[in-house]
Amino acid sequence: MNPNLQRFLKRSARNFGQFWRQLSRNKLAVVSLAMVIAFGLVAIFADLLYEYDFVTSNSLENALLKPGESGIVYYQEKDIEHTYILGSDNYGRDILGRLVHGARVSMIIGFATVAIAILIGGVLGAIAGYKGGLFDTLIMRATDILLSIPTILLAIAIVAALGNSFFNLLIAIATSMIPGYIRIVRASIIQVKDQEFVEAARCIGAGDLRIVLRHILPNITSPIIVQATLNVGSAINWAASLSFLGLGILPPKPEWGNMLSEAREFIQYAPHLLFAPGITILLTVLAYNLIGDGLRDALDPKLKR
Amino acid sequence: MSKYLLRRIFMLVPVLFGVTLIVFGLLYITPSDPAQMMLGPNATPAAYTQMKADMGLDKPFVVQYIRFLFGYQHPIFGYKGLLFGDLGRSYISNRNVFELILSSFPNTLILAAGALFLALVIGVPIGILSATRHYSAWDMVFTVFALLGASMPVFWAAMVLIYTFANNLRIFPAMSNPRDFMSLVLPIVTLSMYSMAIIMRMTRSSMLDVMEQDYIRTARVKGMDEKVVIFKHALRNALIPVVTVAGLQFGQLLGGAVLTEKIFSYPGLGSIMVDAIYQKDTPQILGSVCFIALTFTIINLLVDILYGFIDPRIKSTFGRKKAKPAAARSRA
Repeated sequence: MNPNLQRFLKRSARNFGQFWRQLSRNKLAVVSLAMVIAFGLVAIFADLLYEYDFVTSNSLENALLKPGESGIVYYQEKDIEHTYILGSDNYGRDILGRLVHGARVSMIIGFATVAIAILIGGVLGAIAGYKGGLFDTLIMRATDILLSIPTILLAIAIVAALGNSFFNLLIAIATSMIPGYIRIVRASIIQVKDQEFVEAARCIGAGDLRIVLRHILPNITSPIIVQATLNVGSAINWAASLSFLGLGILPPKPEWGNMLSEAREFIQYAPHLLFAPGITILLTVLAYNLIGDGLRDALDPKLKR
Repeated sequence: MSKYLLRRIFMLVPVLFGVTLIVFGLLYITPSDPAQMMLGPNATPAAYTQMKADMGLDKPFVVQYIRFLFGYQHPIFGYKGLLFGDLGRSYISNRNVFELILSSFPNTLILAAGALFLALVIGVPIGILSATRHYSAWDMVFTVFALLGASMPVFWAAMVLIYTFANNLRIFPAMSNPRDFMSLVLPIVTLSMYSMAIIMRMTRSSMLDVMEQDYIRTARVKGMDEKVVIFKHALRNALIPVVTVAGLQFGQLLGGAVLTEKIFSYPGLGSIMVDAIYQKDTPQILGSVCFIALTFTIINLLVDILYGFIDPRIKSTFGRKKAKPAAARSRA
């Protein structure tokens, strides 16, 4: 094995061990992390738990069943007995099955939007912070402009303009997050770019790209990771909100927000339609917020005891 | 001070210009066809072309954008332009766009102001209580509530409130309008939840910060009553960041009222905007989004200025040139 790689892996393992000791003191964060991983697994293996066609096809004779009730479903040309663990909705679709497939949508939106936002915001923020001058002015003015439209409104306007689709929802939410990353990355770079180790790297002839990627980036990852974790939660929340308004993923595709939107008229007779998706969203967002808080405490050197 | 103000106001111009450009650009690429919408599905191609020309939609983007800013001359579809506060009439209701906005904005303002008031009245005292009884049972309970408040989807909170208080307990109505106080309770509570959580957390952490400082210890060592220490010495300084957060929250509340208004069928600016989006009513969308962005920007500017007034340490740096980055200063 390459000795450089070996040294790198060893150092990473040591750093991770230290970081994990910090994080594991925060019990809430650990529980949340376990929950997020569990939800992630459910999202990945959604098809093994419930078939997609099954959770999107109507079965009106089983409409609004209470949690735990079972009914005969005509599916793929035969009648099958099915137990609705969390009840059924107004079209007789299995709520738990829809939540499971909705988890997949939410997870993808959560991670993809944050990844897009970090990539674009990070590059722009790095240019603004590292290069300064005209680049900085232009990028920061553009950021001010994006920040002067309230976030949810910007996302709504973008989906409204581009039309309802999964991809457009991603773009809308990612765009609303980009200014945050530009600011964080720029501020962090300005903080470290005049320090001695950057000067040293420049003296031995490292280029700008190498300096930013190899020397500055490892020093500014903490605030980005914290912000990213918190943003996965908000992205899931926003996606649900937009879909609730009918500006995101539309039924019959399963999505937590549109499930609540469809449930609106029936909550009086079937409260499980209100509580099942709502509590799922709440727990997911809460988990990401708790992990974010935990990471902030674990990664912030000022708080290290 | 006045120099700083002037510069800030001057900087507002390109920002607002950019906002209009973004919103206009977004609507320009929208795959909707207003001319087709006006004529209905049975229009002849000739009538369609004529309508497109009448509405000014046959011109390139730049021309349309300049018209949007400075006005467009036409007996039916003409307007004076955004700079003169006139965007013509809504495609759907045929009412003047800005009249509709100005008549619904006070309703949104009532909601946002009520929500901010509630958030401050409950959030600040709870924050102080949490900070002064750090790690107590109360602190834990309030912290959990704040976390829930910050994580809860607004529309779901609204639905749960409607389910509980309107459908089952029948205390408050599910539909809301600004003339009926009882009907305002649920939307205000819904809207204030998130801000309340933020303000509570901010008050708590800022209070904890201040309580650790030397001058608080000095005050205590002097034998001062703990109440006086907390309310006279600590709170005054701890509230500075809270005021900023509250101001920024107010802007977010105005914009974020969209979902709340929609669920409670409240006749505010947010409802009007979402309805306009559903109906692809371009002038109404443009007007509403630009108006909200303008208000939001101005509120943020006011918060910044206010911040200078309440914190004399910041005021003293107003007149100076741009401060060097912290790293550069420490090396010098």
